[in-house]
Amino acid sequence: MERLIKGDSVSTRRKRKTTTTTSIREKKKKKLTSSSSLPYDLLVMIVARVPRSYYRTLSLVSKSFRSMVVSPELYKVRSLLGLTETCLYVCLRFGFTCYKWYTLSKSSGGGGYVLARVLMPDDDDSPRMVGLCYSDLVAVGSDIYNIGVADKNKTMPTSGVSILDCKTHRWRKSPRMPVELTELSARFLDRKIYVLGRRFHQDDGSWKSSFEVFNPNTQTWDLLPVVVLIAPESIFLLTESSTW
Amino acid sequence: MSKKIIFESSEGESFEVDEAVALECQTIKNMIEDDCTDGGIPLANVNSATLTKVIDYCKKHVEAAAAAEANAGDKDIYGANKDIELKTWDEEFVKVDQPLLFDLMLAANFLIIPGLLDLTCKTMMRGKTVLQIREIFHIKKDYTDAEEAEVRKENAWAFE
Repeated sequence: MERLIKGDSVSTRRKRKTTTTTSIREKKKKKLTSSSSLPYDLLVMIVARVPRSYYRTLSLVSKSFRSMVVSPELYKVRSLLGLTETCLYVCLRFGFTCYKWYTLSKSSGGGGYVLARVLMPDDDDSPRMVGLCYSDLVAVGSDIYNIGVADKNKTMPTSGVSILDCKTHRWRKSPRMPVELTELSARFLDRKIYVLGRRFHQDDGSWKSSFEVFNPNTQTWDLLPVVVLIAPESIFLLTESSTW
Repeated sequence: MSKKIIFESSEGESFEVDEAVALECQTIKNMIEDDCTDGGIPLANVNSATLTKVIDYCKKHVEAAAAAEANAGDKDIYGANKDIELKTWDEEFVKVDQPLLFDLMLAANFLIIPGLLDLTCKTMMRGKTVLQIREIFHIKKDYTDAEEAEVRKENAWAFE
C-alpha cells in the first residue's frame, strides 16, 4: 500500500489538516471520495485542459480559480501537455492617453465570440503615442513585445522595450535597443525581431536610419550594418514575404 | 495462458485481470516489476463500481493497441485507422454521472493511467456552469456579492 501512495502522480497534500483522531485508513478513504475537495494540483490538471477562451468565465467560480487561471503552475502543466492555443489580442486607444487591451473570448451566452477586456496591473508599458510617434507590437510565442515604448515623463526618441506576458497578463522590461528611435517598424522573422527606424538629430536637423535586430533567446540586441540610403519622410513599414 | 493479477476493491471484492491489462496502470506496473503483487493488490480507495470501469478502460485500450499493431498496414493515408473508433468508445465511456466521473479521475491519478486521467479531466468541466463547478468541486463562493459584481464588471464585453 505504501508503494501505491508513493506512486501517486499528483501530490495529494491537502490544504486543511484532518484532525488527528481520524485513523490513517479513514483519511485515505476520505481523500479519494467525491465528497471531499480535490487536491489543488489535480484541479490545475483539469483547468489546464479547458480552452483559454473560457478562463474569463472560470474566474467567476472563486478567488482561487481567478488566480489559478493566470498562475505560472497552470501554464507549466499546459506546456507539459503540449496544449498550445493561438490567441488574438487587440490594443485600442481611447482618447489620447487611455489604452485598453482585449482578447478574443467565447461568449458566455451562445456560441459566438466577444472581445473581452484584459486587465493588467500597470498599463504604463502599453503602446503610447507621443506626438506623432508610435511604438510597434510584435508577438513572440506567448510574449508581446512593445518595441520603442516611451519612457515615463519622457518624449521620443526612446529605446525602451516592454514585454506583455500573455499567460499572466503582466508587463516586464526587456533589454533596451542600442539606438534610440523616433519612428520605427518591427517584425518577427526567423526567430528574431527586426526593427527598422529613424531618429531626428537636432544638431544637423537630419533624420538618420538604423536597423536593429533582437534575439529573444539570448535577449541581446545587434545593429545590422545596413546603410539605408534613402531617408524616408514617413513611418517605415517592415513587412515579410515568403519565398522558396 | 497469461499471468493474472488480482485487484481488491475498497469493498473487499476481488477482480482478476490479465497482467497485460494491469500493466496499463503505471503504479501497478512498478509493483509487478518489483514482484510484489502476490496475494492480490488491495486498492483501499477505489470502490468496485469504479474499479469495474477502470478495468473496462484498460482492457479496451490493450485490445485496441493489439489490433492497431496487427493492422499496421491498414492505415489510411493520414496514418489513422482504429483511432476514430477508440475515440468514440472513449466518448461513450465517460458518459457517466458526475460522482463516478470524479472517482474515475481520482483512480486514474492514483493508479497512473495517463490516457484515462486525460479523458476524465477533459470531460470534467464540459458543459458546466459556474454554479455546477462550485458544486462538483465543493468550492465555497468566496466572493462577496460586491466582489462578484466587480469581477463581472471587469469581464464586461467590449464588443459583442
